[in-house]
Amino acid sequence: MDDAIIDIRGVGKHFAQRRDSRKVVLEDINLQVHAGEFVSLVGASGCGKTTLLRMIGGLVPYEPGAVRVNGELVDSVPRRIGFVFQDAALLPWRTIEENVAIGLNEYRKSFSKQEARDRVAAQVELVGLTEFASYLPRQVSGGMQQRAGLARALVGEPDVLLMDEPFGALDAFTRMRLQEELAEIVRRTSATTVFVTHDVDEAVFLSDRIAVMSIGPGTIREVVDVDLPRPRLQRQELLGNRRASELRDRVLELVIGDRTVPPAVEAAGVRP
Amino acid sequence: MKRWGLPLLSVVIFLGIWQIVGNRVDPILFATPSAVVDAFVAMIRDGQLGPAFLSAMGDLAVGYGLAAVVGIALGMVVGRSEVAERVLNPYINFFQATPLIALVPLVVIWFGVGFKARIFVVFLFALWSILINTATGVKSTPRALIDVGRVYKFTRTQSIMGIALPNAVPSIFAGLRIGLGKGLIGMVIAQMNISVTGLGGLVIDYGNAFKTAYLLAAIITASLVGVIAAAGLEVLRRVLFPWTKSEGINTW
Repeated sequence: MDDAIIDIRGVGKHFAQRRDSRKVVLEDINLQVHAGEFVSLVGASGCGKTTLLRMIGGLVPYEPGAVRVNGELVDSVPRRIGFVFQDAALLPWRTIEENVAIGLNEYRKSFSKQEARDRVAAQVELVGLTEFASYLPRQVSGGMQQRAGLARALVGEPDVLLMDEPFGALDAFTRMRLQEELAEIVRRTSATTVFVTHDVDEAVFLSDRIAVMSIGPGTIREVVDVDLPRPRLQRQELLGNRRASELRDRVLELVIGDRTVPPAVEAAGVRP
Repeated sequence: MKRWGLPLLSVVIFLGIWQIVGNRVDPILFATPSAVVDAFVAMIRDGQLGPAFLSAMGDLAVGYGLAAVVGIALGMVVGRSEVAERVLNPYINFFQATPLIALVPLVVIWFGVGFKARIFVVFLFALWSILINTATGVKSTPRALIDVGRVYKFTRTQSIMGIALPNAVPSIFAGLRIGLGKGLIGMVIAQMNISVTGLGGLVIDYGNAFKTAYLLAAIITASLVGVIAAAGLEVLRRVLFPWTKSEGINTW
C-alpha cells in the first residue's frame, strides 16, 4: 500500500560469525504501518523485535531490504521521530523539564525560546509532572522517569513514535496506569506508533495490529488484527471481554507455539 | 554525635597514650603531642610556618591546576578518538609504570631548581590519573544516552558537551581526587629535593637537625594542605555538579 508511513520490505540482518558462517538475526521482514496506526511487535526474547524497532529508528543498519519512513529510505535517524527507551534514558544531569526539552532539539531553530518553554511546560503537564519539573531524574520514581521519557518523545509532535518496551521495568500497577495514560495520549495525537513489548495484554489493549515474531531466524509469523472498539481507555474494560481474550490467546499461542510445537507434529498437520 | 563521638574518642585515647609513652622515651625518637603543639605555635610565631604553608599551597595549586586542565583535555581526546588513544597509549603506560620520583633529576636539568621545576613535578605526578579517568569516563557513555543524542539530532558539539562530558564528570572527579593525592606527594618531594623550600624544606631541615617535634609539626601541616585541597575539590563538585554523588574513594 502506498500510504504507509512506515514501509518495511524484505529486510534482514545478520552478523558475520566465522569466516564462512553468519548468524541470521532477522530475515525477510515485511510490514507496513499506516498513518495514525498503533502496531505492536510481540515475540519471545531473542526474536529481534528491538532490533527491528531500532532499524526503523535508523539506529541499526540493515542488509538486505529497504525501510522507508515517510517515503524516505532510512539510512540514518529519520526526521520527526520520537523514541521511548527501555529505561527512560534520561540525562541524569538535567532536570525533568530540561530532559523533556531535548525532544525539541531538532526543531530548535523554528521556535522562540518562549514558545519552546511553553510547549515543554504543556507536555510536562500532560504527563502529570508539573510538580516535578525541576527535579533531577534520580529524585523521581521509575514511573515518573518513563513519563518524562514519553514527554520527551512527544513534545516535538513527531510523525512516528517508536517505543521499546517502555513499561517493562515498572511494577504491575504503575505499568497499568501508564498503559492507560498512553492510550489516552495516543488517541489525541496523530503519531504512527510502533511498540515493542513482551506483555500480550498490553499489546491487545493498546494496538490496532499486533505483529507476532518468531525466533531463529527472527521473522514476522503473523499479523493479528485487534478488532476491538476504540476508544479503549481503561484496562478493566477488557476484563471479561470475550473478543479480547480470544485475541490474547491467539497471540500467546503464536508466541508460545513458536517454541513448543515439535516439528514432527507440525509436519503431520495436527496443530493444536 | 554518634558519627563523631567514636572517632573523636579514638583520637583522644591515641594522643593520650602517645603523650604517656612519649614522656618516657628519648624526645629525638618520639616527640610528645604537647611538644608538637609547642613547636607548631613557635613556628607560627617566628614566621616560618605561614610562608611555608603558602608556598606549599601555591606549588600545589599551580601544578595541579595545570594537570587538571591538560589531563581533562587530553583525556577527552583519548576517550573520543581511537587513533589518539593508540598514539598516546605507550606514553601513558610509560608514565604510569615509571616511579616518577626517578624523573626529578631530569626535571632539574630541564627547569633548574626553582618554582618552574617544582610545579612541573606536581604536574607530572597529578596528570596521569586525571587523564586516564577522564578517558574512561568519556568512553563509558551508556549506549542509551548515545542513542538519545542520535534520535534527537544532537550536533557533534552537543553530544560532546551535552552527553559525553557530563557523563564523565563523576569519573573525572574520581581522577581529580587520586591526582590530588599524587600531586601532594609530588609537591612535598619537589620542596624537599629540588628547592629545599616551603613545607618540604622544613621537613628536610628539621629532620637533619633531629628536631622531631618541629619535624612532626611540619608533616602535620603538609597533611593539612592535603585535607584543605580535598575539601575544596569536594565543595567544587557539590556546587558545580549537584547531580553527582560522592564516590567515597579513599585516595591517600
